[in-house]
Amino acid sequence: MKDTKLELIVGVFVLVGIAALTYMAVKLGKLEVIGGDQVEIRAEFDSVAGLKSGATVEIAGVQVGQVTAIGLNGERALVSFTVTPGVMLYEDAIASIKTRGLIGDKYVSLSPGGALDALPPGGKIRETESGIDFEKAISEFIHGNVK
Amino acid sequence: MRRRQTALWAVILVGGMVGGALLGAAATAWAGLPTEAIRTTIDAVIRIVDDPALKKPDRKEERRKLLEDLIGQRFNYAEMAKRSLGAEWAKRSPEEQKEFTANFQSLMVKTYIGRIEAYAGEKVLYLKELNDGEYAETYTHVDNGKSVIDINYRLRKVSEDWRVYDVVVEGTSLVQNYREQFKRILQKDSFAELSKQLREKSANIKSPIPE
Repeated sequence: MKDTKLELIVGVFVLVGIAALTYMAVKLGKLEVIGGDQVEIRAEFDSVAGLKSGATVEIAGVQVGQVTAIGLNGERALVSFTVTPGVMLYEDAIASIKTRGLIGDKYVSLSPGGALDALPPGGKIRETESGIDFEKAISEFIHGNVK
Repeated sequence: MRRRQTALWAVILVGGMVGGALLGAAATAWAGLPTEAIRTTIDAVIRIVDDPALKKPDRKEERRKLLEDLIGQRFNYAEMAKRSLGAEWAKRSPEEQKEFTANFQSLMVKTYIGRIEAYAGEKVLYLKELNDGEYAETYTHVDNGKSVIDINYRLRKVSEDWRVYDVVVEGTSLVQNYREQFKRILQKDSFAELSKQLREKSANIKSPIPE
C-alpha cells in the first residue's frame, strides 16, 4: 500500500517533469502548438537574404507576430507570417525587411497603412521593401565599381 | 537549277519575315502596358531635357513647366499623398485632403525637378515587370556610367491609364519614407502643424534652374 502511494507520487512527478520539458521545448523552439487564433498574412519580396523562419514581425518596434515560412514564387521570395488578432492591416500596408543594428538579425517591419480598405485574413501585402543590401554596398565600396 | 535557287531564297525570305514578326510580337508582349507607359513618359522627359532649343536661358521656365505637366500626367500625386498619410487620411475632410495633396505635390516637384533637369545622358534600362490585375511594378536601372541605380515604379490602373503611386529606389520606398516622417510629426503635433511644415518646407526648397 505504501509502495503504491510512492509510485503514484513518482509517476505524477515524472508527468509534471515531461509537461515542463514540453512547454520549454515549445517556448524555446518558438513552435506554435495552437496557432488557430493567429491571422496569416503573406508578402512577396525581391530578396529576403538573411531572414529566417521564426523571425519577428514588428509594428513600431513591438512584436506582433512571426515568420512561419519562406518560399519561392517564381523568382521572388514569398514570406508567410502570423499576426496577433486585433492588429489592423490595410491594403496600403508596407512590409520591410530590416536589420537589427548594422549586422544583427533580420526581421519584418510592418507599416499598417490605413488610407485604403482593410486587408483580409490570408491576404497579401503588395507593397514591400527588401532594404539596402549592405554586402553589395560594402563590396562596391571596397572593390570599386567596374566603371 | 536557277528556279530551285529562287525557290530557296523565297523560303528563306518568308521564313525570316515570319520569324521577325514572331520575335516582334514576343517583344511587345514582354514590354506590356505599364512598362510602355513609363517608357513613354521617360522618353518624352529625356527629349525635353536634351532639347538644345529649350536649354536657352529665356526658355528654362517654359521647359520646367513642360516637365512638370508631363510628369504630373504619369504620377498620381493624390494617391501618393494618400498612401503617405496612411490612417490619418481617412480622418481628414475632403478639403483638407485636397490641400494636403497640393502641398505634397509641390514638395515632390520641388524636391525632384532639379535632379531631372540635371540629366546628363544617363541610360535607362527596362528590366522586367510584375503585373497583378490593376497593380504593376516596372523594374529599371539608371546607368550614369559610374554606377547603376535600381529604380522601380509602382503603378495602379486609373481609368485605363497606368499611374505611378510609389517609386522604390535601391530597395527603399518613397511612400514609406514620407509615411514614417509624417507619422513622427503627427505623434507630436496636429495635422494643421504637419500641413504648415509641408508648406514651409516646399516654399524653402530652392530648386534653381541648372545652367
